[in-house]
Amino acid sequence: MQPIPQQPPPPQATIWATRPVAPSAQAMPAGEQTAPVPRRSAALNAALRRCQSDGSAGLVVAAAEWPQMAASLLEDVANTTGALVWRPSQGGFWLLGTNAGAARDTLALFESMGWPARLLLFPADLAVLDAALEEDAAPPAIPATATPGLIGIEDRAGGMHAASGHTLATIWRWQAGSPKLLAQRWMVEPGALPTPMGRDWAGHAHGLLASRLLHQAARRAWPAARKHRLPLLLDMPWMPPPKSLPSPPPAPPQRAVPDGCGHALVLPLAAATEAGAWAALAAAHGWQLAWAGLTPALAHLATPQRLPGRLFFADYSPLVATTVWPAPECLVLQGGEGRAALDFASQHGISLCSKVC
Amino acid sequence: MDAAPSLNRMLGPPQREALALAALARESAAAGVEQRVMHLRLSAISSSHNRLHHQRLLREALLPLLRPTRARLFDLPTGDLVAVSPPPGEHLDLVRAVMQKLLDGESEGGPIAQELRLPQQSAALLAVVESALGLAAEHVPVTPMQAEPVPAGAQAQAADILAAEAALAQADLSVHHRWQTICLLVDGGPGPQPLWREQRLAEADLEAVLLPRQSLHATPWLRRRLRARLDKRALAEWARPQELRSFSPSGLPLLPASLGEEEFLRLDAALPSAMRPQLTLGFSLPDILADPGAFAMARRFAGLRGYGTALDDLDARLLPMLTPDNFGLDKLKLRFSAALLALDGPGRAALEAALPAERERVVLTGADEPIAIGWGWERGISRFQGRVIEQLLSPP
Repeated sequence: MQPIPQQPPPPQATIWATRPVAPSAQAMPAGEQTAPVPRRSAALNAALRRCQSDGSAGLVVAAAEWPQMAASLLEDVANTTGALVWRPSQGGFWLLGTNAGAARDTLALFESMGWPARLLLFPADLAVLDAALEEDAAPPAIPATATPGLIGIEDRAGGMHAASGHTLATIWRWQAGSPKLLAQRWMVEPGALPTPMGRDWAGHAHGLLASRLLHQAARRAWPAARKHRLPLLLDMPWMPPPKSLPSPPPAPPQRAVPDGCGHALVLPLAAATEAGAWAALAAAHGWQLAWAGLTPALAHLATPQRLPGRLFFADYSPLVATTVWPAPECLVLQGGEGRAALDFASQHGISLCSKVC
Repeated sequence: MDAAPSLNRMLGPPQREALALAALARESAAAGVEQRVMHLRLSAISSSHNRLHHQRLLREALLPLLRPTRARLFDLPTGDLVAVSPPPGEHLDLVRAVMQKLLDGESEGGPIAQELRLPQQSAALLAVVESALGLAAEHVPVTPMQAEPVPAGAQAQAADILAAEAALAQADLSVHHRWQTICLLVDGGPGPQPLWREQRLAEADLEAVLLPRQSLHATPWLRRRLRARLDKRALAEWARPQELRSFSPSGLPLLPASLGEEEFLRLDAALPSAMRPQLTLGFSLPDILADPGAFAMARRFAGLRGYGTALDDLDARLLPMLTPDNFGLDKLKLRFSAALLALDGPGRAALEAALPAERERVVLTGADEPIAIGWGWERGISRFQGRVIEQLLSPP
């Protein structure tokens, strides 16, 4: 790490505040041109000096999903211990210049929130900080805002080719040492209709594509790769129960699928407040129900005793593997084809949802 | 991984500045921060007066006025300049006077210097940015009043929500605020004792104003998006110093994800830790199920900071979906309805079995008729919210 000057550099006068004044290379004598030294605040310089000079500690947090919340918690620690929260241009948050006890407590706090964090004990971890400072000195990247427009997204969804925006996934589980196919899920392809950041926009896009599936089902236009001997699961949008539903494809032969699972509508968990109405409507038209979007925090719902359904879809994560699921035979994990997920699933008789047949 | 930096490199400085200006407009609207904006329409100067040396002269004329101030100047791709300054910003008036004097009669389509106020006119500023970026084809109607007529009951679309959000920036929401008091009312005891007051937006009325003749019924994700914006507006108002000075025990229903927003964290930072337990944050079951990840985070954060929490406005028929610990929330706000009176024996027994054993955690909402109070008392519930309570509290 370069020594930190004891006094902060005098502020440079800027006329155009959005454009920092850079020294002209032509104005410098030959041989004296050096890489521009990044301008750091006096507070950051003071915190870096503490990291260099005494046994202070720190923490580095990614918390990409909840950055403001993470920053707020770190600011609290910083205020009480005289530390600093540094936000480098490359993202993440660094708590610098606190004491080891506070850093450890904060680490425990962040782990309880499920945010990955790393404890920094200086001077041993100065190299980590150096690397981040070097990366921060690179020209800042302005977040790309060329997100697809929302205006007309409904028309774009309606204008997509019938075969795009959807995929046919396979529900399977390990049984007697070999994979056994249980059902197919005609599902919305994640990201097929890009939207700006935000769960609600993504949900709206998912709903638009799932509505197209429903329309195709009404026209009896089932996916070409459908296996007629397997039950078909159909992704549904989040919407109030409609007056009517299309009929499912012809029933598959009786098979040893979980609890006699038949053709099913896969509802987002948000629709669970109208589960009763959906169950009645689905049954009247020959469908069962399945639910998507289960998380460990709501694991208790993943059982037919709580929600009328045979299958419950959850995204795999290490937290999922440490959660007690009330009816593991009804659980279907998505996005977990690594060794850990496969082991967890086979150990508990859990099914997997995979695009690979 | 490298896509974003590559894109950034492709954007020229004026495009970047336009995007920065758009971000500033959005932040200002979200946080309610006041700014004065001067849009200098250099692109509208007649061609004979719009050569490079003319523009240089204009900029030099502007420099002495901007140097000692906190104004920020943005170059737009069209060649226009936008100066943004915190109020009072008298120097902007000087800028306008100089520009008018230099270019009087030389612009096309209106005055050369147009003033806007943030956050009220952030939609207009965003329209300027969109136009400068060549996105005018995807024009967002600034207010619903300007939108083309739609058939009554038409399903709202994303564009309608964007327009409603733009209109929200200028709307006075105070007329749509509804306050109700949660009271302790014990059978045979004294009159209602206020515990806390709750602010709620009259969402249906507000939707009718923002989205006339349109329905959000079939598009719940869009309704959530609009509610998220309303949350931000409400939180920005709650964080104002004058509101904090008169803070008393209160309740505020929010989307779980709103706790991760800057507006909430600003309120969180401004609220002394001793006052946080006096603020009860309410999360509804549909909102929890729609975004379980955000709920898990919001619940932990609220717990860490010491806020009160409640499962808000729960339909009694959904009680079986609850965990015994009420999703880890402090209070259960159960909505009374006449259907509860019609429950048969097994239905009543199932409901009572699902109620938290600690009845002091339960609030019966929708107590609009005295029979609701009686129904609650029969089940050991003594905390109520509704029109009956408001009538009891109002002076005769």
